Amino acid sequence: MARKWPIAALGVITATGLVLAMYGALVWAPTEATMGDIQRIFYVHLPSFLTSFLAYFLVFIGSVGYLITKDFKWDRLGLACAEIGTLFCTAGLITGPIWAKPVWGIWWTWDARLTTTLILWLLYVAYLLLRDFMEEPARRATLAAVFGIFAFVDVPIVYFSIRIFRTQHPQPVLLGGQNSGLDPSMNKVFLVSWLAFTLLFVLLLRLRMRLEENRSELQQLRRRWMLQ
Amino acid sequence: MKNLMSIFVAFAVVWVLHIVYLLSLAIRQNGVKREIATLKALIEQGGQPTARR
Repeated sequence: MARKWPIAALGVITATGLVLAMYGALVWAPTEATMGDIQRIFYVHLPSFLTSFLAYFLVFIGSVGYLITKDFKWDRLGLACAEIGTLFCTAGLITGPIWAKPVWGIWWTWDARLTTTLILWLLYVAYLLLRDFMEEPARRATLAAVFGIFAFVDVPIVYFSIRIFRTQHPQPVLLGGQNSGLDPSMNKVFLVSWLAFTLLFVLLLRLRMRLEENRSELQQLRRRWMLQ
Repeated sequence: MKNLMSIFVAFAVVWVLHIVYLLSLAIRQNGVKREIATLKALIEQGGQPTARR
């Protein structure tokens, strides 16, 4: 019970944040002058990707942590973050084409930003599949850690792709230098949405880590039982 | 509001994905907890591996 209430409190705070974010995105934020209302998808599209980048960064940290310490808690962090990061990346990859179709007239194009993002998603799906194919825990954790470090290389490539290449995807609205940025009221809604998605990530991470901790306990019990 | 259907689908997809994931976590967690409880009971009884369901 003592372990449950912080998760319940985090759940309530996250739900409140998400409701506020949705209200801001759908009602409070002004309509964008060029694209119109369809631009409101931005408030779930970009926070989804930013949260997936955070998750993939933590996979990287977990991978390095495991290779240095050989402690399985780092491996569990990597697994949990890869799974949740892929969930957020999937949300971003689905909302992107829904936004693109009315604005660009096409669902998808193989420009640098979209292609490298799809590769990013495929890399972490491969990371999760790789884990499923291996039985021996130490070998699985080592290979997953090496793959987790390798896969993270694509995150900065995705981030900088619109700065390096000419793309169909718009130029950055955040940290994009002069002539970039958001209207202040749009920026507020975006920040609330980003915060709410980050809280959701923390909540899902806590729940996913608890599942892995219980699985670890189950493995120990199985070994004990077999030895009886 | 223009493009209402596209906006609705985009927001719905995001929430459905997260709700399905939360449900999958709850189902997996319940399964593991049940198995832990069963194994703990068997260990306390000194049960044999063959007695496992």
